[in-house]
Amino acid sequence: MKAFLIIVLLFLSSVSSGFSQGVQKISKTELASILNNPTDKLHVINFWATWCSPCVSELPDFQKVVNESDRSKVEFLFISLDFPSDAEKKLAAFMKKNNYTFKVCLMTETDYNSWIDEVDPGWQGNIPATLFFNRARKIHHFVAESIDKPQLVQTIQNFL
Amino acid sequence: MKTRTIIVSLILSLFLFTEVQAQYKVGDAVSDFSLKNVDNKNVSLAQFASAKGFIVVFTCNSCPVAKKYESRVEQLDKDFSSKAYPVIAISSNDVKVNPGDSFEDMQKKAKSEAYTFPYLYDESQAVAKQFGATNTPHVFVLAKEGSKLVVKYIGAIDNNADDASAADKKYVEDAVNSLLDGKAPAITATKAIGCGIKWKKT
Repeated sequence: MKAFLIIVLLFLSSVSSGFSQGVQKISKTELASILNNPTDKLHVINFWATWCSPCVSELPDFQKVVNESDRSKVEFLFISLDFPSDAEKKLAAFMKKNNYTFKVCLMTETDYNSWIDEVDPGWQGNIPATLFFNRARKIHHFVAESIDKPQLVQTIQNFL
Repeated sequence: MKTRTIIVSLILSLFLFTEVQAQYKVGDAVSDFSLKNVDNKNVSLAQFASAKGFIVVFTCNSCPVAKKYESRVEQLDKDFSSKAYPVIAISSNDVKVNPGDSFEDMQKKAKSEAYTFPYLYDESQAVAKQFGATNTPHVFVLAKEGSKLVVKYIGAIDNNADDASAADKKYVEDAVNSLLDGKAPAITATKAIGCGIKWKKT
């Protein structure tokens, strides 16, 4: 009986951890289609990783701005560049621990050179980096460094 | 007279600006530098009289991507220093931002990893600015052409940071092998996700 209970518990815990580890993924092609999205809407894409301390430091401010923004006008996406070997484990736990609700996707294309230029030709691949764009209005603004909250709010305001 | 002073100062400032913000491109000639190595002795490129070129790697102790590449940088030196293309590793991070990148920590790392190449401390960050390095790791392959040292490749070591065995484009290795064969590298510039160099706050 005891053995049976242990097996049931083990099964349940494996199922639940399986759910919590579900991390949405994004391919190079999917990123390209977002970057070329012609709808008249401001997109804010933040490139980050759990291993990048300046990236992690700016996320609380980003979460606040996501909460305060009119989502019909501005769409946020957080692309994680965590290493595929440990991302499943680290990313979901990190999001949960910090109660983050913003939309995060794990980049599956690790041949970075094949897509960095599509984000911005001047980007060397250093993170944190944030792209603000609205193809319909020909807005493209790329910041390859940390952004604080006033700067983030102001940049979004400028482009709305 | 006034306009003359303005013109002169403009020219001077332009000169100073280009001096500081060199930011090399492939094909540019490199100015030598002198930086303190982990053994407390200064190292400059001119000291390597028999070198045909260099694999200059801007890296650091603390960046997880740089850590992923640590053993690959060591391997590059093992493979190419005997072929007159030694590795020169340089750390330019501001210690105030990343305390783990202090000179003492660099010394510890070089000792524990038994580095076979110089690991130089770019305390003023002038050399990183001179090269236009932005990331760790960020590689510049240089080749001697007469009395000049010319940039032949700028970018990543290979195309898979996470898993060395899965990398199928070995940019630096291929570039140096081409140069050793007397050819220009097929790929001269690449980009990769990495930590930004931690600049001093001005």
